[in-house]
Amino acid sequence: MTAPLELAGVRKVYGHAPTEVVAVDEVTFTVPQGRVVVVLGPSGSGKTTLLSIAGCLLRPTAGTVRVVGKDVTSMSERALPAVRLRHIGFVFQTFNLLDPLTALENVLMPMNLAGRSDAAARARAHELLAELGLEHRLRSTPGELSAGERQRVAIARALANEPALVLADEPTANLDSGTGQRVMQLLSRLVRDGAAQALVVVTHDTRVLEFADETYWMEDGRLRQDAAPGSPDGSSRASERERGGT
Amino acid sequence: MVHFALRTLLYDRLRFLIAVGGVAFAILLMLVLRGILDGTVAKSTAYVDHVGADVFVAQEGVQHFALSSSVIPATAETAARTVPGVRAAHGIVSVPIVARIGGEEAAVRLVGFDPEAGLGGPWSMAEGTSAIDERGIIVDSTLARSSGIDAGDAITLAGQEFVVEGLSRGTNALAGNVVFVTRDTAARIVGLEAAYSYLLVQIEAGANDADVAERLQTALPGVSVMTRETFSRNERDLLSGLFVTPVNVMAVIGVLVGIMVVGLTIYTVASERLRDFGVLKAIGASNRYVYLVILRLGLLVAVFGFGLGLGAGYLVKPLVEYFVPDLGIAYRPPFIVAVFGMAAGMSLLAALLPVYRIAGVDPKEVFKT
Repeated sequence: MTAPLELAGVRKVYGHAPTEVVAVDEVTFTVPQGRVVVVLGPSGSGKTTLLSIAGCLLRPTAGTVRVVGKDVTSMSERALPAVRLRHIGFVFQTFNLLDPLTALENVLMPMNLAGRSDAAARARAHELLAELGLEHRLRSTPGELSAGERQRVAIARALANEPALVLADEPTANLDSGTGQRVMQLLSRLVRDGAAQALVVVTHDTRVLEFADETYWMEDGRLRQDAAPGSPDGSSRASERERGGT
Repeated sequence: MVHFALRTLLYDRLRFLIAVGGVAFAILLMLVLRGILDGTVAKSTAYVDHVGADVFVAQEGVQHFALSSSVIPATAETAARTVPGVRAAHGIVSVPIVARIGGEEAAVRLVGFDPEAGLGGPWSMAEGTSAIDERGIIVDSTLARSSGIDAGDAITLAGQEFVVEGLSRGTNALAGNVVFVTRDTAARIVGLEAAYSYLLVQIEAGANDADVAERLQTALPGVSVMTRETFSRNERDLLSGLFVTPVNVMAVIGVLVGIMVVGLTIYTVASERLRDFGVLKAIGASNRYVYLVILRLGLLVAVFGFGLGLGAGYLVKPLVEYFVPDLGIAYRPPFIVAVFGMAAGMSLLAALLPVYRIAGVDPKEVFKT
């Protein structure tokens, strides 16, 4: 089975010697289908650079990135937007909704870009927003929504084209703890329900670990698989739950 | 895509109104300036177009009416009547003159015609009669209104007092409003003996004006013979040539103002919504899509601005015609189409600058808080 995301020997260096900065250093990891992967790490550790590389927004200096088995590092710049559009969904810390559009239109946007028929796109957007409890907010603009609602709209937008991979950058950072908890519950449930094949969350919020199947720790550009709090063997609480644990 | 561009444009209503207002102003300026030129020129040829003559005979070398003086021998009148295809031929006296009307001096075109023949006199009367006697005068109705005179009033022309017996309609023009007296009176005023200024010729039914003109040219040596169409076109070309350059200069200023306003607005919209374009790129929009959004922003501004400018143009038209009756405004459909083309071009040109800015947006910037 093809993994939604595979990184092999990925390295990203900014600048030149002797002042070069190694933002990502020889990172190799695979995100299997149906998994929620959390990358923890302090600010400046290279998490966002890693996410940008995984999201085909930034080319690595070295190494290979495969999205649903396709080597995106060898693709032309012009081909990458289509990969992002069809295979990757993004959830941003600051939501990044398009302010002039309503919640419904924001969710429709990636489907319109992908050329999906208007009727099919509308049906999908209604379905997603209803699933996320926003059926009463379809015509609201981002400015009229609460932070939690905006993040749910962003999640709906990320899932609109049924991506193989959802990349979330600090998805709980601008939310209160309760809302953050609900957003993570929602994201992990959607992955398990098959709305997306895999979810990668980069964060420094350790509360997110509760929902992780796999946890990685990133520091100084290096990534290592790490034990989640309360799971000395390296597996997460989510996996434990699946195995019939807490 | 149009929808997204429109919503982005309407997101800040005030800025949208400023942009549309800027284009509308440029459109209005172009439309009104050119409209005044066309309308005024059309008015200036009103006498030639409406007096009822099919062919005009002028002094040799004279190709125009309003800004020319012409003298032809009176014998041309009887000679012309013998030319096959000619139904009627009547001489008129026509000279520019300064008249004292309503206590103020006014540059007018004095036309002397034969009231019994009718040809050469006013073709539409607002008031009174065109059958004037030697002491009678017909004044253009807009000139009469602006000068505060009415039928029955007396006015002085070349030291002679006349009674206003009629007010004519459609005879006002920038080059001089027309006042009519009898032909003999006019000849006496300007000192013409056995001569007229122009000969007005009507052709027989079924005759061809160009053929008759050619025969007249052969029969009457030493004169210029022109069909109404040619004479009118000569007049329009002359007047357009006099005013078209300053009008074009002002229109270009209007276009530049429009480009600046639209350019600044779209640039501001693009700059303020740079993050949106970054988000669009991040979620998979191609550069082409983003550029097209910007170009559509420009086109939408052009369409709204054009509509508003055109509407304003039609509102301004009656106002100009009322307050400055010597001017006319004519919006010719081909020019309206050309103005729309200019508006679209102007807006697309103005959208180029932000396109370059948008091209530089790095989608990974959306990860930054």
